[in-house]
Amino acid sequence: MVTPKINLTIRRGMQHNGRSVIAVFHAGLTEERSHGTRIVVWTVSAVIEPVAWAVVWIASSRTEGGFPLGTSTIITYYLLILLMSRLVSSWTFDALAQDIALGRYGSYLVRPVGVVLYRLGLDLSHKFVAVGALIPLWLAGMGVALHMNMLECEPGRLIYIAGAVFVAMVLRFVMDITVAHVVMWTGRADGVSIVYHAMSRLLGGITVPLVLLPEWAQSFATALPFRFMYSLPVEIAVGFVDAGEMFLGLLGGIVWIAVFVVGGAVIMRMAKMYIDPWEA
Amino acid sequence: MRRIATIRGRVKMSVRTIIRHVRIWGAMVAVSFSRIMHYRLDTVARFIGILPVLIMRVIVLTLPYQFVSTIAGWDAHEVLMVLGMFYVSEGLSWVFYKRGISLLEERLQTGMMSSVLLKPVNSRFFISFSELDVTRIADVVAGAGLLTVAVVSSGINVGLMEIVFAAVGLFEGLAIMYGLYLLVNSLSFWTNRTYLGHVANPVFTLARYPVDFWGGSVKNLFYFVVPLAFVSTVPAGLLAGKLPLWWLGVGVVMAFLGVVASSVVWRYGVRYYLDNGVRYE
Repeated sequence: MVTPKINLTIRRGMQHNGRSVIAVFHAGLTEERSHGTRIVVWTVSAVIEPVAWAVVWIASSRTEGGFPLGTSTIITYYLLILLMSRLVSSWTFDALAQDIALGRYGSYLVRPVGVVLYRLGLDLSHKFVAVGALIPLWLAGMGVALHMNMLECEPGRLIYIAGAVFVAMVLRFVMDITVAHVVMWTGRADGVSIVYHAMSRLLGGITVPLVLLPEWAQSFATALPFRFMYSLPVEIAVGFVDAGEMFLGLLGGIVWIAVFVVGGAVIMRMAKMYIDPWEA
Repeated sequence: MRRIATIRGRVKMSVRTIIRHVRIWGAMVAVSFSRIMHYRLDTVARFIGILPVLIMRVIVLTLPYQFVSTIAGWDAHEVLMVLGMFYVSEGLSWVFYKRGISLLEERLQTGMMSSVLLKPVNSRFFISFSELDVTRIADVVAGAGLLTVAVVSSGINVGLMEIVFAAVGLFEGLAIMYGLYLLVNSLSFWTNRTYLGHVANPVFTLARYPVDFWGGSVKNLFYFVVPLAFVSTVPAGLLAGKLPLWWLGVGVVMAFLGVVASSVVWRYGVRYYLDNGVRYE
């Protein structure tokens, strides 16, 4: 008799959460529309650093012999990493960290939808707009990459690429939520934000392909979550990793998601206790 | 006699105005330092976090030199000098003016600009220098450290004159960057929610690398049109003795043009803001 009741409660809870996320998603779309130019500025600003690095590497590859990557590989890599970084990017960390720093976290606690679901709805709306805005860039990137015959397009690899992109998006979201909560104790987002974003770019392969790093630095980058957030799908697409490494890479990403889900739950509980004396 | 008295009076007024603004700025510095005492953990994170980021940047920037000895005429040590100079320059710009200017758009959106214009202080001065990000001293220290290491390891003979020339070049770079940054952000008077600063900041980060890397017309663009070269490439080149001294003269002209252009745009922007809102005169 008890089990159906519990099932009903769970089902109603899930329905409520689903409806909440959809409602926030719609609200997020309206917000994104009102910031129409932001998406253009955001895309333009993202292009600058990868282009600069592509120029540096192309200049190196043309200067003398012995350089491990060809010009077309470099161009394909930076095109794909640019698209990947835009696809994975989200405002979750910056927005949540600012809310916490400005003392607005309390408002999340009294809403009928929790902080994670609320941010998830907004994140999905941002992704929806971002993917739409990036369609011309995607088509151009794919066209160039295919024209250069630099993409590995076997069906197995494509499935891994899709999996790695999904893992990257989820990982970025859970990591953003977890790291943003650190601001509860630092009081300001500046220090954490600068270090978090800089390390993401450097160890995520946005600045430089990880295969070009020294052995120890590659191992260091592989042990951290940033590679699974940006670089892995591109490495698979360009053929930097073989079948075994693809599987291990996906597994590594999933392990990091689990770590951040558990870590995030703990840190959120601590954050609630920190600001709410009743919880404590 | 009357003319001399008038000139004397004007000079006295100008001196008094300068002293008043210096006093106000001193108070802002004090407030900024007290603010970082409120956010000690964040400040500690900033100071500790700079180190791994800098190490990674050094590794990444010196990576191409495993395969080539020079790129566009710059060797590994000289490129590290450019990076060090960039950190110093970027750190100083955030310490003194970038944070304040970057808040302009928010002030315009929230209507806080009106209260700035009501204050008995020059509005451009207040916007530019009221928000000092003193935690960025970490960048300055890290950049100076990297610069020292790069100079010592390169074996280049750097005398007092080279250091003075590089310091002058750095100052010119700061003035140029001030002009550009204020100019770009002042466009917020006419636009709404465009987040132009988000474009300006990544553009400035291109100064991490010698602009000669770009080659051809893009290189000239960064020397003479969007003079990012003066942020790091020119001061580092002067320090290493790679560039002739006449670049300092070019820097003075660029800085003058940048500050004047930003000043003109600012005035038009404030006038536009006042015409579309409440007149305070």
